[in-house]
Amino acid sequence: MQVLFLMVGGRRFALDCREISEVLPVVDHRPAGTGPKWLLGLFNLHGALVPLVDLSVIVDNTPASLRLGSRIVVLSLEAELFEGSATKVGLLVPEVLGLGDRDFSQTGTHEGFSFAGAPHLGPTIADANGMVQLLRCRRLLEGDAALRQLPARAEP
Amino acid sequence: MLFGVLPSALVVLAVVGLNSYRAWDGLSASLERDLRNATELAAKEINLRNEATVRLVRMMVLSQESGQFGRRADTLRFLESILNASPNVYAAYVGYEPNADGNDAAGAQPGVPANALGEGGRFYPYYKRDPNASGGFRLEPLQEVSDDADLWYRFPKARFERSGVADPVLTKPYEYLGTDIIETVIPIVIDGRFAGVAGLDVALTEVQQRLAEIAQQLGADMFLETRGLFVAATTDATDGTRLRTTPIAKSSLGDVFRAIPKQGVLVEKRIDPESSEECYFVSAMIPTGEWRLVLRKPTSAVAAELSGLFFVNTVTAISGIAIVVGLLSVGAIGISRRVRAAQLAAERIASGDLSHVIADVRGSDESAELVRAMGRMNDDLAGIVGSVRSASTRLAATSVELAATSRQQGATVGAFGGSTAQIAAAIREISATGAELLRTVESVDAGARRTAGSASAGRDSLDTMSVTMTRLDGATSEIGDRLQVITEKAAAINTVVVTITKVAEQTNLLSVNAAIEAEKAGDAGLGFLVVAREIRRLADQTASATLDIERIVRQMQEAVASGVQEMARFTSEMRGGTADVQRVANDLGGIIGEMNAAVDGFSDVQRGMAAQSLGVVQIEGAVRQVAEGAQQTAASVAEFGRVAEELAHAIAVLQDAVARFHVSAPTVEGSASCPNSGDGR
Repeated sequence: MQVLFLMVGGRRFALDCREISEVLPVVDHRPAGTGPKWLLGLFNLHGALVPLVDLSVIVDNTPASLRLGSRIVVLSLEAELFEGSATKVGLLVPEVLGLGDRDFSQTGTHEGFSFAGAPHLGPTIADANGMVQLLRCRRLLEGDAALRQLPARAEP
Repeated sequence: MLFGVLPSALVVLAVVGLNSYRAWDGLSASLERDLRNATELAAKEINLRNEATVRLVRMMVLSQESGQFGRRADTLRFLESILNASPNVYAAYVGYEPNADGNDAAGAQPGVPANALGEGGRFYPYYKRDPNASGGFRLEPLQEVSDDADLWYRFPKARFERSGVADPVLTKPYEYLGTDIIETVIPIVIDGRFAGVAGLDVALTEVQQRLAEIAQQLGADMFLETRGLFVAATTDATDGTRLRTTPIAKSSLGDVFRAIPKQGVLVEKRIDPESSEECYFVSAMIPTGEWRLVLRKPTSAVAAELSGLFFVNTVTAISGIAIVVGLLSVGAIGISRRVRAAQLAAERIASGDLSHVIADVRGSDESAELVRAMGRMNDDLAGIVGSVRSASTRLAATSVELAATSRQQGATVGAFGGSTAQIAAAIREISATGAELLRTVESVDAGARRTAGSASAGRDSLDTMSVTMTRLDGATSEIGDRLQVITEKAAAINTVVVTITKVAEQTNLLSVNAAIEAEKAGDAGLGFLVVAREIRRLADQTASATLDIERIVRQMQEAVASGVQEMARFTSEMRGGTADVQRVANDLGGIIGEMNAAVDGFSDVQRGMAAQSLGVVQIEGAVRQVAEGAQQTAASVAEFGRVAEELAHAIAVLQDAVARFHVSAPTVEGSASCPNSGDGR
């Protein structure tokens, strides 16, 4: 399985490439104002305005600090999360490490701890560079940071 | 003296006069105020009397209205007691309406004699003072004399029935049963109906007496009037008319009284029609009874009081001035006497007579000081003339000595001529020595000039070296500029490296996205995935290569920076060297200057020597001239002798002049015995 390696809060994580729409350099965004801490605001994705979410707040509960390797990873999410309208969401990732091929169902895989507020934490494996945990993109915006509560859409 | 004292006296007189004029004004205003106050006071006193009477009547009415009405015996006793308690009341009475108390039919009873009843048994008692009656009072019924009852009975009754007013009524003065009286009446009102009157009579004689007392104190006439009639007057009209019985309008004072307004207290000056002289008329209103008090006082009487005060003032002022003038005159006479003495003494001194002794004078003022100063001047002058006399005698002796001395000098000058020849020989010897010294100095001068030449050559070499160093400095600056250019180029390389880094980064991102797309494409994308990985590897290599370039450029920049520093250090050292060379050149320049100065000094010495030789020749000439001078001196000494004789002659003239002053034989002459000295005018 082709994955994208990330570094968040000093820990390595992986995202399934099939759920990634594209990887972008960090661009300016318009702040959401007084909202949930993890919602950074809106940014311009090829002319469409897309919500920008701080992955660091969701995974590590600390605001992201930008560096050279910081990227926006655009996820293409299922429609049902957004009450019928298919859309995209940008994840501000503190540091993108690179691509790799990993099997998260091999022998010795830990299925990961399951917390009530963190359904996005997937299985963990060990490789030459240490341990890496898979983040479940579909569940990423559930739990405490449920995107359903996101005031992202204007009234028709 | 007259011109000193008189103006002062006149000024003081003027001040006193002005003061008196103001005092006159103030005094007359004050007297007017006194008149006004006295009148007002008298008016108030009469008003108080009237008010007291009104209060008594009111008390009688109150006692009737509050239960005494109808009790005829009690009422009679009450009237008697009022007369007892109030000595200034002439009579007291009560008058009921016919059968007002329903007791008219009862007639006389015990306590109510027939004298208290009017016609038909009506209660009509009138109690009046009578010294002949037993108890001092006599009771008789009220009588209506002519139309007087209109005033004291029918007028209050009619007024009450018309308007319900039960105020007191003060009647005009009239004669009642042989006595001049004024009545004060108040209606008795029972159950809202007029039931009768109560009243008191006040005899006018009493008001008259009181008014006369006040008028006497003020030295004026007083009139009391109401409703066109005189109530009282302290004087009667000049024609003997009884003013009380004459209406004011018909009296001689009618016009004046009409002219004075009836209000408050007024002071007016008017011509009195009786005496035809100007009088003060002071009028004061008396509210109770609507009376008016008028005071009359001739202005001449007021003026007499004023002039009494004024006379004392003026006499005091004039005697003061007279005393001052006397004192001033005495002082002035003494002064003029002493000044006269001083003048005489001055005239004597002017005529050359210093033999008089000026006696001392008493006193310490300026004139005495002047006389004393004249005495001192006289004594001093006498001393000076004596000194001049003895000095001229001594001068005569000295002039003789001078003549002898000039003859001695003539001999000495002759001896001086011989010495000059010896001096001339010595001078020639000095001249020869000077010439030899001149030659030696010339050789020293030549050596100094050569030294100065060498020093100049050394300085020229140093100048050349300085120019070379300046060029080197220019070259160093150029190298610095080149290094600056290298630094700029390195910065440009850095910009390029940044661009390459950005491209590599974007390539990396592109390869990631390409790989993601390839993964999404599944097996079909496998080939593309390989390409994407390769692109990514290339991008990584580019990134690492740019890192190397960056590092190398940074090292190069550091090297250039240290080169620039070295160059700066070298430049500053070189500049130090240049400065040193410059300093040495300057020092050499100083040496050369000093050498030149020395050469110039030698030249000066040379010139000096030459001048000295010339000087020696001149000295020779001078010595010759001295010899000639000695001969001339001898002639001068002879001339001097002649002048000494002239001096002796002048001294003789001076002695004659001094002899004019007479200093011996002192005679005492006192200022007191000086004729005419006492006449100061």
